[in-house]
Amino acid sequence: MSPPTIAPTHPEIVSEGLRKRRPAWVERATSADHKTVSLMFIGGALSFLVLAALELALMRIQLFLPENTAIIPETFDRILSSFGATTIVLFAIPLALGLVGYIVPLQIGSRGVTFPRIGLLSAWLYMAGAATLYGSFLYRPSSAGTLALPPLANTTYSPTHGADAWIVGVGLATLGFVLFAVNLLTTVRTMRAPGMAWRRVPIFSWAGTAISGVVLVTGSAMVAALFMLMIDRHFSGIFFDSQQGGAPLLYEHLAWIFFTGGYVIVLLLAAGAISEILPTLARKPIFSHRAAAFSIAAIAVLGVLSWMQNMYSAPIPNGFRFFAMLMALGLTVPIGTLIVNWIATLWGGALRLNAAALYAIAAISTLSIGLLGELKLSVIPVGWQLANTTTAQAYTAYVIVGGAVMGGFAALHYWMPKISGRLVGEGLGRISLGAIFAGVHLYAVPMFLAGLKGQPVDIQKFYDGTGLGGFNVIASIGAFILLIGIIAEVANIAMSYRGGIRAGHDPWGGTTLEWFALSPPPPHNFDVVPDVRSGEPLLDIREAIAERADVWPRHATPAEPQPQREPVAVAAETSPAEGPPETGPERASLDPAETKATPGDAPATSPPDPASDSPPEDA
Amino acid sequence: MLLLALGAAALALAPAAEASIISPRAAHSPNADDIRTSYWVMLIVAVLIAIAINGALIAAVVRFRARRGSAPARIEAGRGFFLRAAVPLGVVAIALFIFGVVMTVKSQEVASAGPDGLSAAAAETAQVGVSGVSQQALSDATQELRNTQPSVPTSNPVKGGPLMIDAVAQQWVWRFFYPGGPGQTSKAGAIPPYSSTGGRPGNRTYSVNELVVPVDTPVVLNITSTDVMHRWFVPALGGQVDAVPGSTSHTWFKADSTGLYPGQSTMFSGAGYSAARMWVRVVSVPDYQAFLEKQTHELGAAQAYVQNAQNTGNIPGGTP
Repeated sequence: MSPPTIAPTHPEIVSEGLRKRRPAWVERATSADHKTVSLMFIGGALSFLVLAALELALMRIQLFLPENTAIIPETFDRILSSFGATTIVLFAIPLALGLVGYIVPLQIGSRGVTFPRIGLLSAWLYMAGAATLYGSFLYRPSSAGTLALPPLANTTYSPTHGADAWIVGVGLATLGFVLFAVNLLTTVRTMRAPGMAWRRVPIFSWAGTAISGVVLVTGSAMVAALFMLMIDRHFSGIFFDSQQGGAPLLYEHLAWIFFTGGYVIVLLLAAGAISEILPTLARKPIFSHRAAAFSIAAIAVLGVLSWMQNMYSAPIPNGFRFFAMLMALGLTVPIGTLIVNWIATLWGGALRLNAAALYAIAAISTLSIGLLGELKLSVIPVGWQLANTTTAQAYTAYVIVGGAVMGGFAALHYWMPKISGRLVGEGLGRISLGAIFAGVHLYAVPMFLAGLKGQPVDIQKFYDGTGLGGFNVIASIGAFILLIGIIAEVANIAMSYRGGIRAGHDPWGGTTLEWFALSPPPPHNFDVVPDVRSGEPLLDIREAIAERADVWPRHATPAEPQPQREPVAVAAETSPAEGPPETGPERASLDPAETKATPGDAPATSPPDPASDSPPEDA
Repeated sequence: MLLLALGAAALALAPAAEASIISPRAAHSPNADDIRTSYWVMLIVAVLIAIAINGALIAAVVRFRARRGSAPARIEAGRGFFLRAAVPLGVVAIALFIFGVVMTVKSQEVASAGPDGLSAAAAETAQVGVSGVSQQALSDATQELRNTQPSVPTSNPVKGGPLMIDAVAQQWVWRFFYPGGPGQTSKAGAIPPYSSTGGRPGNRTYSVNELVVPVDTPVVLNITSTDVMHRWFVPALGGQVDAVPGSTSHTWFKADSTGLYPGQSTMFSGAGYSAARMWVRVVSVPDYQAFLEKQTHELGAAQAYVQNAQNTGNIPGGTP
């Protein structure tokens, strides 16, 4: 971390007496500051996103033509086996954790995390896991499939140390995630700013808490499963050996709990980020904060409980299947409520359509298609027909690309100005969004159709004369376009990290506490931890500043101009699209005592301002 | 009501859309029909919701994007918003759940043989286990499919029950064991069921990769694996079923017309996974019996030959 920049408007920052700094990379790699740790997660996740997209493109080269021989099955299986782990374990979960770990302590007005060194350890375990997994490419990587299901992952069928590397790599990374989750949960539990009641915790922090809970539960299950698998492989264990009374299904259950958890995390990351981006950029509070928070908690619980939705074809009793179907269909309620919430948030607002908003909207659209596909697969007979066909793969692609890629990029467009102090390139961002959007549809629609004709997932070749040729050609082209879009956007973020337009401290006019900190935030986040009095603490702070400055009259009368919100001065210079709002969002009252009398449930549809040129409608 | 209407629409559409690009391969079995019905209902529900969501999203974005002088209204929901939104969504979810349960249970119900099926020739077919319709045997098989009663060795041909086939997967071959075999040709029920530990598969008639079954006859498959996990999937004849070593999964079908139905394993099983295909050849009852006799005879001859070679020390292809 470079020493905090001292902005002329904030002369109160003191950075004297700091110890001598070591080389930058040593500082970055050994700092226990939650922000540097999270940057390691984000940087690693984006690198592995590019790698995963490359692996997908490689597999699509092989599947471009029927009975192609470009990549032999052994090599293909190695790419396949690392692709799944890369997508979920090395990209999606770390991206979510990185964003959560950076933003949540800022959002809840904390000066740090409870266990900074455990946070650092979690990042190192993630890096070690990734190095172990990809180190096996130096000799012979695992070819045991996406989930490394025993008996295929036993020494009989996967005798190489590549499978060990897969198990240890995924295990180390997952252990890191679990430690991270412990750290974040305790932080949110104990280190919120004064006045930051649970009902005032911003939605992204709610999502971060839910993500940590999911990681804690499902990650632990996966670590246990991998331990047992290792014992089976090297210490004559029989956990999963059916010949001696073990149960291969046990591993399948545990692995699906974890990978379903990863899926839920992708969803929660997108949900949390979208719930922050849309209200801020539409200059309107989220339609129902309470419902959004409850939806996110419900998604986490129901999502994890529906893991057997992936196992309808396994030899389990019908009762298990019905339970999984009930949980999976039950997800309709929180997800549907959340989408209604988002659209109602946009309704009546003034949405600034920059790259962050466009990514968020594309994410909602893409996610809705993927999740409705999952809804179809949740009905048991449909699941029997379409699970493990490329139809299911298409839905997964929609959810992962919509949630982790588009949602993640939306979050990065929105928060990189806070993280690096610079805006992410707007033009390249839009172009790569176009490529990603076109790519995912070009990839997934033909895959959907091919799966209906019976094309299975994970195959190394499909046969001529099965009528699948055209679908696979188009899907391959889609995967290449997706790869181009992802590389362009990651390059865009990387270039903007040092070379972007300076953003100022609050480029979007945000209402949550992370915009109260400097950009980038100093190691201690806040010089002054504010007293939180509502769900939108920055509005209160701006009012207080305006009042104290005595520039504007205490109560604006209709005849007079509306007070302009501070500190838009910074934003005004740097936000490229437009200037500060003509009139700030209407507030029911400028008197904190009156506003805060009934937080959350105030009938906020009645600002007493008759001059308002858009009278609020009934909610 | 809406769902019922949708279901009716789906049922009306399903035959018309047999060759449609957005439907699974045409069904040739009652359980596959139930799957198609579920698919169409869910597809229509999903498409309607997707249109609603994306339409509302586009409308909101186009209508309420920031323009010069546009001021956002400060609209927030009251306290009961979640419940107001959750109740209709919950009703939809519950309706879909009930629909799913009904269709699942329905598709697991093993039907009795049709007029062209094996039961028609009861007297001759006692050896292969189907001699007239026994509701009890069908009901037993159905229960087994739903895994609601402890597994019993149903591979023993039940008099009057469905045709019981043991499907055994291994890397990357499927073997299908028929009732009866060279080791025991006359009495039904005398052949031990196949199991990875006990069982004497050599005594039973089997075929490799291609399952031959009579048309219009209920066939119950007892699926297991000898090495890694595999998955049975013949799209025209129903859904996917895992082949898990150490346990037995069940499925059934009743093919409505003769022909060759291709299938392919959908559970990754190693380097030969892409070639792990299986076929179901549905033939008429006389053809089936001819096939079975021929296969039994050839297997018996082959076993006798090998036995003879071993006894005389004259082992073909060199010493083992």
